[in-house]
Amino acid sequence: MSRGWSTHRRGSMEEMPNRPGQNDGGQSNASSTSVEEIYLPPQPVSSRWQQSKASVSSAASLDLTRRYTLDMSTTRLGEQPGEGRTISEYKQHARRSCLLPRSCAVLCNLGLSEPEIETEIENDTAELVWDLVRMPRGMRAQAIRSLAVSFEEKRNIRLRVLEARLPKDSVKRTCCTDCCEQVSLSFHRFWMDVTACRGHLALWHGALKEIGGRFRTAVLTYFRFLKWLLMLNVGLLLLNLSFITVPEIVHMPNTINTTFKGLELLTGTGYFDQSVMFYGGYSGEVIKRGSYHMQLAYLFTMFAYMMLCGISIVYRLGNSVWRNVIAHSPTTFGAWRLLCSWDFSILNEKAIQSFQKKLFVQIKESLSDCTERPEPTPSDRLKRICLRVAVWLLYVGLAFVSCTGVYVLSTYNLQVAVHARGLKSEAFFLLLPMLVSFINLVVPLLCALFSRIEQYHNLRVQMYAALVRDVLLKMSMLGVLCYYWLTDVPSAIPCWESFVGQDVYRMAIADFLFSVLRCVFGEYLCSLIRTKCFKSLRPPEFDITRNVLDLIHAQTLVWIGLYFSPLLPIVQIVKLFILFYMKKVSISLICWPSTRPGHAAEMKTAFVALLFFPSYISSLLIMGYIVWRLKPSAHCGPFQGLDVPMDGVSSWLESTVISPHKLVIQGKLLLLLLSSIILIILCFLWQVVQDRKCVISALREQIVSEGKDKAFLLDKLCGMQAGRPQVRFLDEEVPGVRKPAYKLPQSTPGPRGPRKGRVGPTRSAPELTRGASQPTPADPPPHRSDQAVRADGRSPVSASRAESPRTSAARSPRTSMAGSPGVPRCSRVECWVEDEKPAPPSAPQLAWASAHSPPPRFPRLEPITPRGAGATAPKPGAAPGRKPRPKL
Amino acid sequence: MGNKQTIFTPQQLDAYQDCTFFTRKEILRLYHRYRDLAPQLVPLDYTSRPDVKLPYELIGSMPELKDNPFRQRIAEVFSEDGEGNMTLDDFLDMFSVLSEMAPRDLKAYYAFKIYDFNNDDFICKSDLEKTLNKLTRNELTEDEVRMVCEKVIDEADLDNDGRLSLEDFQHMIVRAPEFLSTFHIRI
Repeated sequence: MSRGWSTHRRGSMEEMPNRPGQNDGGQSNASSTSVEEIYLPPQPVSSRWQQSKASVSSAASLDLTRRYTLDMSTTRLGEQPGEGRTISEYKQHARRSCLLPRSCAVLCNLGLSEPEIETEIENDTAELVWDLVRMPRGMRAQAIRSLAVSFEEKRNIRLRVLEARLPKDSVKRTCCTDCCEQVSLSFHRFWMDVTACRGHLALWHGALKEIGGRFRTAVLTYFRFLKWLLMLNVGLLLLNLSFITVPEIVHMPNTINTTFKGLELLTGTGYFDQSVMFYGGYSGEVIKRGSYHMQLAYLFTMFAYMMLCGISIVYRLGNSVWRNVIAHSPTTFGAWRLLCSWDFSILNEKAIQSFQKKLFVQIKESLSDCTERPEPTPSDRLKRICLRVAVWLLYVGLAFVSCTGVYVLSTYNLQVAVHARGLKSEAFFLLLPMLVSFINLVVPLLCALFSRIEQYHNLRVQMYAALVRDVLLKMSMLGVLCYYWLTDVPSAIPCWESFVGQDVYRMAIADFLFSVLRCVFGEYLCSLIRTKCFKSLRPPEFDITRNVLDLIHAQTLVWIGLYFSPLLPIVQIVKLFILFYMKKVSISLICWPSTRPGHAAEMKTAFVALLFFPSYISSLLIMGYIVWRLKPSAHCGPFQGLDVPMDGVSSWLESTVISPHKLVIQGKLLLLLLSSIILIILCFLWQVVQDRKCVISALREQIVSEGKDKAFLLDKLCGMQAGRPQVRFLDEEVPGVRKPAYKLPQSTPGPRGPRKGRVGPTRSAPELTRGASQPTPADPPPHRSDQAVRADGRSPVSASRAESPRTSAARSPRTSMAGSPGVPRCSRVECWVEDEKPAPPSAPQLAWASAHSPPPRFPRLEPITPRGAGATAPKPGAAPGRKPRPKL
Repeated sequence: MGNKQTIFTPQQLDAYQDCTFFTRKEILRLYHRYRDLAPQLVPLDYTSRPDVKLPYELIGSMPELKDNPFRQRIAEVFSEDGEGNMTLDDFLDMFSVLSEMAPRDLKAYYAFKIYDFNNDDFICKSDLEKTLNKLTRNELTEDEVRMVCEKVIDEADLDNDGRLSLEDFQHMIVRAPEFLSTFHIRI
C-alpha cells in the first residue's frame, strides 16, 4: 500500500507523461494526484478526512489481528523503498496490499514525507515481529495465519520472525540444540497430522462435509441433529448393556424354548417375550456372587441415563440459545440478512437457486413488514379471523378424531390381548402402531393443505403455526397412548410392563417402516411423477422441519419405552443409521432443498427446545410416575412383590445407610432448598441480562452521538480549511515540494528530538517497542504545538481549543467518552490556519481537545483492546484516558 | 506419483503450514486441485517457486466457485493482481481464509472486501445494490432494491455517514450467528 503511495509520486513525476493509458482502474485517480495535492487536500476535504479518520479509528479499535493488519499493510515501503517497478506493477501491488482502508492515504493526508513513512513503517514492522517472536509457538503460528495480508507478506513476516529467533540461540548453538529443534519440529508435524486424523475418524465426517458443501447449512442442521441423537442413543445403550443386560445374562442365561418365526421382529412377542429385550426378562434377585442388586441397578441406570440426557440437551440448548438467540437481537429489518446471509458453502446449482429464491422471499417479506400495509377493513379482518378459527377448529377436530380412534383401537387391542393369544392376535397388534404412524403421516399433510386458505402475511408465522400443530398432534396421541398404557393395561395384563414394552417396540418399528415408505413412495415416486409428467413442476422439497419432528417423535418413544424395554435404543440406533443414508440419497438425488424461510441457527435452537420441552420433560414425568406411583406386576420383572418400584431403593437405603437418606430421598426440605437456590441463581442471571441490555442500549446511543460529534467536528474543520488550510506536520520539509509561506522556527529543538530517537537504528527491539508508545526520558515532551505557536505567532487549532477554560468535571459523559481510543482525534494533527482567526470553539470540541493534549506524534495504533471490553460499562464522568473501546 | 518431497521442500511445507490453516495433507490436496485446473501450466516441482498464475477463467470454473454469484469478487479480492488471476499462494490463501478454522475477524474482513465492489473501503449504496442483485438474481424491482438498500444502511450505519464502514460491518456480523459457518467453502 505504501508502495501504492510512492507510486503516486513516482507516477506523477516520471512515468505519467509517458504512459497515460495505464491510469485506469481503482487507483488511477490517486496516481494522477500531484504532490501538492497530497499535501494540500483538495476541496472535498471532508470526505477524505472522514475516510482517513475512519480508518484510523477502525485501526485503533481492532484487536490483535487487525492491528497487525495495519502494521503489515504498511510494511512494504519500508522493506524495499527504491525498487524500480513500473506503475502498473505498483498499482497491482497496491490493490492487493492496500488492505486496511486508506492507511496510506491517512499518512499522506497527514503530510508525512516518504522517509518518515518508511521509518514509521519499519518501526511498526519491527514491533510486530518482536511481538510475534515473544509469543509461544502455537499462538505465533495462529497470529501469522490470521494476518489479513497476502500470502507473500505472511511468508516474509514469518521469515523475519524466524530470523529474529535465531540470534537468541546462536550464542551457544550446539549439536544438542539443533537436535532438540529438529525433534520439536518433527513432533510439531506429527501432532498436526494426528489432529488431522482425529477429524477423519469421527463418524460420517466426510458425508457431513459433503452434505454441508452441497446444500445449505440448514440441511446440515438436520443431519447434525440426527448424528447427535444417534450418539445419545449409543451412550444409552452402552449404559443399559453394561449395568442391566450383561449382569442379567451372566446371572441367569435365558432359556427360551419358543422357536423364532420372523414375525417377532415386527411384533416383539413370542421369541422376545421373555428375553432381555423387555422388562419381563429381568429378575429382581440379587446376584449371589458379588451381591449385585438388580432392582437398584435397573432404577439407577434409568435415572442416570435420563439425567445425562437432560444435561446434554440443556447444554446444547443453552449453547445454541446463547449463540443464536441472545446474540441475535430483534431488529426491524435485519440488515445482516442481506450482507451476511449468503452461504458460500453451497455448491449445488439447484441449492443455490433455491437459496436465492429463499432470500428473495425473505427480503420481500421484510419489505412487506416494513411498509405500512393498508389497514384491512373490518369485514376483511373478520373474514380472516373466521378463517383462522375455522382452520384451527378443523385441526382440533382432526386431532380429536385421531386420538379417539387410537384410544378405541387400543382398548380393543387390549381385549384381544386378554382373550386370545396366538399368531393372529399378534398380527392384530400391528394395527395400532400402523394407525398411529398413518395418522402422523397424513394429518400434517392435511394441515398443510388447510393452511393454504389461511392468509398469513408472514411466512414465518405460518411455519411456526404448522410446527405447533404438528407437535400438538404427535404429543396428544402419545398422551392418549400413555394414558392407555399406564391406566388400562396394568389392571388387565399380568406382566403388563412387557406388554407395554412390546407396544412401544411395535410403534418404533412401524414409525421406521413408514419413514422408509415415505422416502420411497412419497419422495422418490413423487419426484419421478413430477419431473417426468409435469416438466414445469419441481421435485418435492426436503422439508427439514417435518423430518426433524419425526426424529423427535421417535426419540420420545424411546424415552417413554426405556423403562419397559431397556434395549429399545438398539432399534433407534439401527433406524437412525439407515435413515441417515436414506435421507442423504434423498436430498442429493431426489429432493429439492426447501425454500422456506427460517435460518439454520434459529431452527437448531427450536429443534433442541422441542426435544427438551414436550418430549424429554414429559418422558421424565412419565418415568417418575411409573417409579413412584405404579404397582409393578406381581410375577415378572425385577420389582415383583413390591408396592412401587421405588420401594426397592428405600428398603436398600434403610438396610445400609442410617440417617441422611430420609433427608435426601423423602425430605421436602432439601427439595425446597435446592429449588430455591436454583431460583435465586435464575433471578440473579436474569438481573445480569437486564443490566447488560441497559448497557448495550446506552452504548448504542453513545455511538450515534459520537457520529454526530464527528460530523460536527468535520464541519468545523472544513470551515477552517476553507480559508487557507495547510495540513501537515510541523517539522516536515519534503524535497521538491513547495514550502509554505510561513516556516517553523528552526530554533525550537523539540520536534526533531523524539523522532530521531525513536527510529534510531541503534536501539534494540524491546526498546523500540517500548519507545514507540511513550517518549523516553531523554526526549523532550512533545508540546510542540504550543512552542511552535508561540514562536510563530500562529495558533494551531488544537492549541486554540486547548486554551478554552473547560474543566473535565464539567464535561458531559457523552463528550468525555468521545475521547475514547476508538474515536478519531484531530489533536493528532496540527492544522495551521494562515489568517489568524481561530474558530470559536464549541463545547464538545473543547472538551474533546483538552482531553487529548499533549498530542501523540503519529496516528499510532492503539494497544490491543480486550475482546470482552464491551461488557464493562463506562462510568460517566470518569477520567478521560485510554479506555477500551466497547465492542458492541 | 506425486511424492511430497518432489513438489515442495519441507521448509516450504512448513511455511505453508504456518501461514495457512491447513495441514500438510490438505496443502498437497489443494496443490493437486490447483494443478488439475491446468496440468500443462502448473509444474510438478514447486521447490524453485516458479512464477505461475492461473487466469480467472480457470479459477472461476472450479466446482466450488462456478455457481457462486460472488466468484469474480472472491477471485479479485484474493488475487495479488486484483484481477482474479491467482498463483498457488493466492489460491491457498483464499481457501485458508474460507476454511472453518479461520477466525471471525479475518473472515469478516474479507467478506467486507468482497462486498465492497468499488474498492473504496466502504460499502455504499451502489455496492449494496450490486450485492442485492446478485443475491436475488435481479428479481427485485428498482424501487424495492432502493428501499432495501436504504433500510440496510439506515439500520447498520452506526455513525450516520450514509455508508457502511468495516466497523459497522463487523458489528452487523455479531448479529448474524451463522456467519462463521456460511462464509466457508468446504474443499
